[in-house]
Amino acid sequence: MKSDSNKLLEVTKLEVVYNHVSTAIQGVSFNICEGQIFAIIGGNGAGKTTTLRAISGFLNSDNAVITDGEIKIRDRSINMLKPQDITRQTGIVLVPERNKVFETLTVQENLAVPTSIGKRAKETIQNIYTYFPSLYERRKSLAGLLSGGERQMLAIGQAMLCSPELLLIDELSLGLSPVMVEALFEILLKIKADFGLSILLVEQNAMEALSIAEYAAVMENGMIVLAGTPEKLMAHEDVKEFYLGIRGKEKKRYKDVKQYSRTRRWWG
Amino acid sequence: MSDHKILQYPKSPYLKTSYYEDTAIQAFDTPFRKKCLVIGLLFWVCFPFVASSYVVHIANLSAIAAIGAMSLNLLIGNTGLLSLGHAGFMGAGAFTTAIMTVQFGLPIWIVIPASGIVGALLGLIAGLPSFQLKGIYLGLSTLAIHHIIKYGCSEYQYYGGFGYGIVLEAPSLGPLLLAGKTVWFFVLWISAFATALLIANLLRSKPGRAWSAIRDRDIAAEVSGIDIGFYKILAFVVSSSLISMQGSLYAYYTAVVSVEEYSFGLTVSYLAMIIVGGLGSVLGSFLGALLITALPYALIILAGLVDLSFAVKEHFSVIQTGVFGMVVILFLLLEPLGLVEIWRRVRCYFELWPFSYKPLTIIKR
Amino acid sequence: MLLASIVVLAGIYALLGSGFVIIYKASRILNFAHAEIVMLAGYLAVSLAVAIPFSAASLLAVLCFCFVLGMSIYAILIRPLAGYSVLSAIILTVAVGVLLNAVGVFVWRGEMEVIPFGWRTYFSLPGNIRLSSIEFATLGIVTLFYACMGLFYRFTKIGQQMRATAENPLLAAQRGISIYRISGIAWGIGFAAAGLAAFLLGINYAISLQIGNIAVAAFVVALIGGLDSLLGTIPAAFIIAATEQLTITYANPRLGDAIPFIIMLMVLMFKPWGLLGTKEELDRV
Repeated sequence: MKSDSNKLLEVTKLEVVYNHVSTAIQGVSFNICEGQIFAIIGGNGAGKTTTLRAISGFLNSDNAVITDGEIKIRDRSINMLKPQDITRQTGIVLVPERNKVFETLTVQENLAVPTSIGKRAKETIQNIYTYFPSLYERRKSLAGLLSGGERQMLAIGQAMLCSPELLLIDELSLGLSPVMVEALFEILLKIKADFGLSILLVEQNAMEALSIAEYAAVMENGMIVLAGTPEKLMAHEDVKEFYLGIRGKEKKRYKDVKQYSRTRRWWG
Repeated sequence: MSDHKILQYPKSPYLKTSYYEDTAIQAFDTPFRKKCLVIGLLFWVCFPFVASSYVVHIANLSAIAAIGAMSLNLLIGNTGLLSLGHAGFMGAGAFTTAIMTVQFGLPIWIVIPASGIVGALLGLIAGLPSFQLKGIYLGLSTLAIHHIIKYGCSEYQYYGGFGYGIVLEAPSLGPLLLAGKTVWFFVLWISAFATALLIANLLRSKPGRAWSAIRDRDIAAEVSGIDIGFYKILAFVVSSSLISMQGSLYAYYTAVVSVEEYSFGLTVSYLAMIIVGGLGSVLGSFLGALLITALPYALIILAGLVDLSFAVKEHFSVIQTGVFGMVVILFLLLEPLGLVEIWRRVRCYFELWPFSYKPLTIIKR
Repeated sequence: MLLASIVVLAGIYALLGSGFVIIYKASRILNFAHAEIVMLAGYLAVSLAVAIPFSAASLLAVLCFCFVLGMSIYAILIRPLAGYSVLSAIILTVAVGVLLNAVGVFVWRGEMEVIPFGWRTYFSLPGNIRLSSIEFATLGIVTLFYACMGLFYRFTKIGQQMRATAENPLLAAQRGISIYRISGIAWGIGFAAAGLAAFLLGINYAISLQIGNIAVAAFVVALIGGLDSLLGTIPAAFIIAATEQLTITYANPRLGDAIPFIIMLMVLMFKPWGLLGTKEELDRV
């Protein structure tokens, strides 16, 4: 962990309950420093998306509430803020997993939607196009007609126009070819360097996520079970086995490893 | 040792140990409730002889309204299907009554079941769109059916040459002539209680559970083996058949049938009753029907106490509608769960009175 | 003559229907108080036309009044109900309608009034069609309204945000759009459309308590066109106006009242989302 002075986001002992009955995440704590790429990896239903939605203020619309813990950005609590205020006031911007662009609007209109651009809208949008040249070529077509990769680019571009300090990206690699994922990660790195952003990545594709992140956490059953630098995590036996599919020297198939009781190995 | 006895503790009325106990109709299970019931029954029998005929008339209208509210509540509150066409079904019942008595001179004990059958058939037709429509779209399809029924009725009224309405004679049930407010008071309230018992029993048996499941999540209900198409249609059939019979009773009671009465405004007042009373509750339907029916008359009494200017008096019916709208809006904003929730809070307060524990609160829907 | 009356009626229906559509698009609430707004706006226009001789100024005043009324009804009554069932919102709009109706009757006594319209000539068109200046102005205003709305949705910032909110409110909120403000503006515009329609009704026919029936037919227009499609109201309005006028002329007037609903039922059976509407995932009641 870096020193506390440049801490951007601080999540402490977060607990979220859906529909008053089912606890999705419990005791989740982590910090994100300025200019850092933080990755959360884990399987389906591990609570990754819930964490993300809690940070971006979306829980109310899902019938869920934060029952314990606190989310702070620059020492300001954002537990009770509405989604639009979180975007406007705190600079936390989410790229959601599904429905991430307005399909009935054109690409150009999609980029014009964010409210915080202000006067120099044209230049800012032009600037975004320099990162995504393929979007510029299709700026007149409806977003609903774009391919998966282009949609992801558009969603990231749209998020960038909300002048973020912390970009939350949910499942960047979902449904995309490995080549496209690598290209997107490269663009992300470039954007991060140019704008001085912090990025919180939530991924199932652990290999890709760990290759780009500076710090990572593994979630399982609504808790963070492991955290550390990617090198440390990649060296960890269980991470190798369960998320990277490497055991011993050779790669193994999921069918062979799933026999082990995973939680028991970690929790004794 | 033969005198070894097991101490028989009186059972707590609030402790339920099985599903059947929990769903039983709780009317006679404690001494207090038995006393209340007996006193209530006595009051009910004496009421029409003590109260003025005007008040009895209001009570009669409330009983009719309660039947309608219960049947609408069954559909909207318990099954979650929106209907905006209940005034149409009610009109269908009233016109069936008019045609059968005026044209064919049939007695009341044939006419009312026949109205029920007509209502059931119309409910079957109105329920068909519910296979593919939900929410507001379903409501609109029932609204369309309402207008089509209304068109049929107006054609009959026009070509039959009835002008402003079809006048009915007082029916007789065996030797008893159903005329006068007091006789009708008993007929109507007994019908209302019978309807309440029928609906309460339906709700705690298989169809009722299926309906709740459909209301809460139709896909989950289908997955767990409920034939949702059948139960949706069943809800429509039961509801519209009940309100059709109620329309028949209403026609007999007021002795005039006119198509003007069965407008969308009537549906609105029934919707208001179940909103004000409480969705999905039989008691709520009763409370809502009482409040909404008595409201305009209560306003007249209030207006009698205050000296009003001429302009206000001249347009008093407008003030009545205005207050009606206002009451509904206030209920929706301040107490969306209706009168039945207020009643529950009052009861909880007294049940727990010396203790400081708060009961579990209902999650807002 | 019949053709001209169908076209004019269709124009007014389309305008009335567009009010429903604009509100439904933005907030997924069907505004059952629309008929009463039309009535109220009509009577207001009558009173203002007496007070201000210049009819454009009085029209503008009516539109402003309707806009503010729509925004305030949304802010005070509809917004607190966010998260409750569809039924609550419907009943609320119905109750608002009842209340507004009472206010209208109380203030204006429910008499039949005509909005005076100064300019009166006739135009002869080819094909033996005569169009009065009023009908001409009506068609002009409707066309202008649709053009303005089209441009508004397409090019203005608020219009784009409105479309974005209609499609995906959650994402719109995330991108910093205040959904409540956008919905409020949509309610204002929807009410203003109702006010404009009331003005046209007033100059073509008359303002009376029966005007609500016309607004109900317009509601059918909105549904047939597709509740979220502004463009769909135009063909739908023509269908309804034509069938209604033809039935009234050649069959009987009572059937004329019922025929829009018969068409609506058929559309609901075979094409529930209307001619140009998009299929939506419906909530439970």
